[in-house]
Amino acid sequence: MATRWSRIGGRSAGTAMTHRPTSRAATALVLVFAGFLAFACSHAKPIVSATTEGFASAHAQKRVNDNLTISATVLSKDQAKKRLRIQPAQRSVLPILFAVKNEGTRSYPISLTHFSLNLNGRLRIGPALPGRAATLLRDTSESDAAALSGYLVFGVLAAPFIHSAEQREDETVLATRDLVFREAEVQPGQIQPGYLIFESPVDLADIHSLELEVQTTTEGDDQVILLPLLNPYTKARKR
Amino acid sequence: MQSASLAWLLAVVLTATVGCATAGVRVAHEAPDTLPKFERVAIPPFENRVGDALPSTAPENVAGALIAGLQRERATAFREVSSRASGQPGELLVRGAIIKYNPGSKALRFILIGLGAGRLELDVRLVDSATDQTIEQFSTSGSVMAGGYAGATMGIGDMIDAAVKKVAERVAKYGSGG
Repeated sequence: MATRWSRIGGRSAGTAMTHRPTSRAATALVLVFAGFLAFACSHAKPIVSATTEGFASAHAQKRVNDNLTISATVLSKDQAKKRLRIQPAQRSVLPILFAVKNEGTRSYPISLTHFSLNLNGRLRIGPALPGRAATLLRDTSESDAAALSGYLVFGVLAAPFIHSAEQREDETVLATRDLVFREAEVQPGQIQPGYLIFESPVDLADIHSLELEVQTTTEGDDQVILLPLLNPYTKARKR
Repeated sequence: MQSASLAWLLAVVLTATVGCATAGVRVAHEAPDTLPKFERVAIPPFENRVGDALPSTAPENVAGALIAGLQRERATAFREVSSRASGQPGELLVRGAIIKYNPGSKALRFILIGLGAGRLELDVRLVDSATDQTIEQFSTSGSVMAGGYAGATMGIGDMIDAAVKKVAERVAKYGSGG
């Protein structure tokens, strides 16, 4: 039988046919595994809540009056990755962790409108509204990975995974919005931390000076406090 | 074997990168022949006229995208771009509303271009903040028509960016530095 088969095919195919199914099965297994890996390795996670940890070691700290102290730090690449799950430079986002310490006897209201950022001494921008900030911080790695695994291995079978990943990411965005600072009433003896997310109109590497401007009102007097900050994303200037 | 490889390559090209976000503009109230100029522009969160179907982050997201767009692409047009109106002279107020929203579906877009398209429509009124007089009114839209991998990675953010780009073009004309 084997002899007749090779005569019909014009060549001896017996040896080749023995190896082909094994190599095909191995290739398919590798691709399936790669698909699972691409999908399973990523999963949208919410941002970490702002804490008072590091209040004393912040980049900048200023006493507003006898009762209030404000501190602020621009999150570095590693800190942003750990807390916010993003690479700030890739999204032109400057994430700032601030805290207000109230050592007085009355509560003190603060809101987003009290803050702005001076870039290079020329441009002044306000923090992104929480809905916008949450979108800027959106982690799409899960749906992207599902799409990639569909593209590489599963084809249209990946569609339900893409859909459920998108729904989870939408829920994470809402949770993130609630964790980004909007406003607060700082009680006596309390330290109120928060994230301020600034959407930079220029590349982060081109920002050589940064000042956080805080407008406060103390006993009817308006005050503007300036906190110079370090930009961890700046590139060294050529001499 | 060669034809199978070519067929696979063609399938890859067709499904991988096809996608775009588009926008259009319809004018309801024409701008005056001589445009008034403003030093400051205020863009508060857009009004939600869609209802519960609209993600609750969308109104702030649209306003924020417009603020960022003006600061990035037309940085010299206005002295200040803010999300809060002061009501002072010299300020242009952008009163916007999201009037239609269809998120489409990333999953359907992945399956085939033309399926699961998303669309967002905005209505924008440009108002003199000091007098509350409407200077111009128009509507614009942003849509996502994509397929394959590109379709599965585009979403409401792309629709907003497309729609907001048109709004920023029209708003920037009123800047005293523009």
